[in-house]
Amino acid sequence: MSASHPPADSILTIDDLHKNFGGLRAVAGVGFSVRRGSLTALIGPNGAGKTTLFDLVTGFAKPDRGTIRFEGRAIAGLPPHRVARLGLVRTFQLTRVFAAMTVLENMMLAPRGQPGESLLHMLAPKGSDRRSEAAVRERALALLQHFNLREKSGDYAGTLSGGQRKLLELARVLMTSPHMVLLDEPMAGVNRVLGRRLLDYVEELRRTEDVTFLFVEHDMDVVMTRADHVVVMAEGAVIAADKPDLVRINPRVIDAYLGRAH
Amino acid sequence: MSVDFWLGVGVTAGVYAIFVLGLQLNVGFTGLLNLGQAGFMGIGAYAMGMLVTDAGWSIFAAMPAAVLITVAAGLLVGLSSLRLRSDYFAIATIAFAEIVRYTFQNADFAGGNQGIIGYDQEWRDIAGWLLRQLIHTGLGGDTQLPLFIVVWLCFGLCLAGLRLLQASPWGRVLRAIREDEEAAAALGKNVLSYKLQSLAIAAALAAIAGFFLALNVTYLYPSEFDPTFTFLGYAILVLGGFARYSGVALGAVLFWSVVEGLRFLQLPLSAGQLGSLRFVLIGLILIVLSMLRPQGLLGRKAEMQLSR
Repeated sequence: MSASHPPADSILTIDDLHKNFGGLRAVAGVGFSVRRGSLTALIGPNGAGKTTLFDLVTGFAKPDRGTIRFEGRAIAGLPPHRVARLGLVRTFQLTRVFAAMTVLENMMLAPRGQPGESLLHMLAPKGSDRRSEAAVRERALALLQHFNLREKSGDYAGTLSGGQRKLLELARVLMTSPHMVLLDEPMAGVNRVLGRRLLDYVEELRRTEDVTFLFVEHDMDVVMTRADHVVVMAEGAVIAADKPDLVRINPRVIDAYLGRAH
Repeated sequence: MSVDFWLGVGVTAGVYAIFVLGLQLNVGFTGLLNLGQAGFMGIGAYAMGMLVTDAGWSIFAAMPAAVLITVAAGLLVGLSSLRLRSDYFAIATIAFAEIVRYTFQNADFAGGNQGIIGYDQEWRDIAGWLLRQLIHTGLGGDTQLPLFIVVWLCFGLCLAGLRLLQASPWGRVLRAIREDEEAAAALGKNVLSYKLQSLAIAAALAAIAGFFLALNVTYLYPSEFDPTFTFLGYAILVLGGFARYSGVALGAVLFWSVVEGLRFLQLPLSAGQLGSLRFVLIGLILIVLSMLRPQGLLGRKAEMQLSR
């Protein structure tokens, strides 16, 4: 799976990426690219290296070797906050909301480059800061409305149900105005109805905001019906990257999933 | 129980209150377990004292310079140890504070065990003038009154400033870091930078508390800055409540009123025994409080108990 000639419209290009933990080769020579505006699924058996790959791309782990290019910029080894500021934002497998902050505060925290977040700036505040804060609040409330969380805006995020937390996490990521979002098992621990709604939001955002999504998912029905491109990992390497219907019949993929027993 | 005695208690409470504001910022709002606050206070107080007595500066020039020196020390400590996990960071800060104290004790430039004396002439002039004005207007002639007024005025200013900061987007980022620093980083927040800023401001508050301590005791001595000061500060923090700046004032006043008020207990005990008993009682009060009101008197229960 060489990515040395990525398609011109790729937003994320990974090439020959390696990461070892002690003797364990978690990611061993991964390369693929994600097309801008696509909804790409990353699948593979447990231990295939999917979450490690997410960590490498978003700066939570440093690769031993290899390149990652996001919108043409080399980002391998950048710290997480620098990656996020470029517009490449992730969610976590275990949902992470700021429990002792209100739902609205969770949302308002997220936008990049808020003037009031700088201490130096606070020494000489401008009138525009208040307007910026008001605009952030308005946008947060509108998004919460859209995600059916508006009436929860004053509650502590720690009082939300698991599904509501997932929704909040997705809404919060959108507050950063991302170019690309990495979702680590967005439907895990969520009932099917809510899971579908979550994916509907994702598809809508892709259409209306031109956000690119790369998501890890175990539910094959969801992957095959929703994704327009599927990357399959096994034992730290990419074994297939293709359209869903072609991945489904790829013998290497069937092997990796069903084991060598069949 | 003269008025001056209780004014003295009020001054001590005020010094601690300013000191604990920094702990509240670190612990209550950033999730940083700073156990080196007494070290920062020592650096601030000694820098001020030495700039006046050795370099001949005016105390009013020495104070802001000493704040800057303490902030620099805070950044140095932070840069070297903030990447550690939070419990190791706590250990590193207490080690730092002990290094500071032993340095003062043994270094010639800091006066060793003789300490530093004679930096407060300008303050005495002002205090005398203030006292004459107070007597003139009939507000009282107690010698501790000027320092009491200035300390609590300063506390009020620091409190107002911190509340303003806390209500801003900057304060929001700090709380997010307290809750989950990885999630904050994933949203583009530079966690290390914010922790450094939090620590630097706490160090500045410790330095200011150190100035008032220096003016109150009139000479600087290393053992004034031993870790006990930080631990009593934590007792006040717990008493007053977590994640609430106003709780700091209540905690400090209550703590010192109880500790000093118990001096007047009529018990068949020696002075040393009575002194120890006071802290036994404070300990009991804290234990009972943690059972009945774990968030402290004014603390925010939700911010302490909600989990991820």
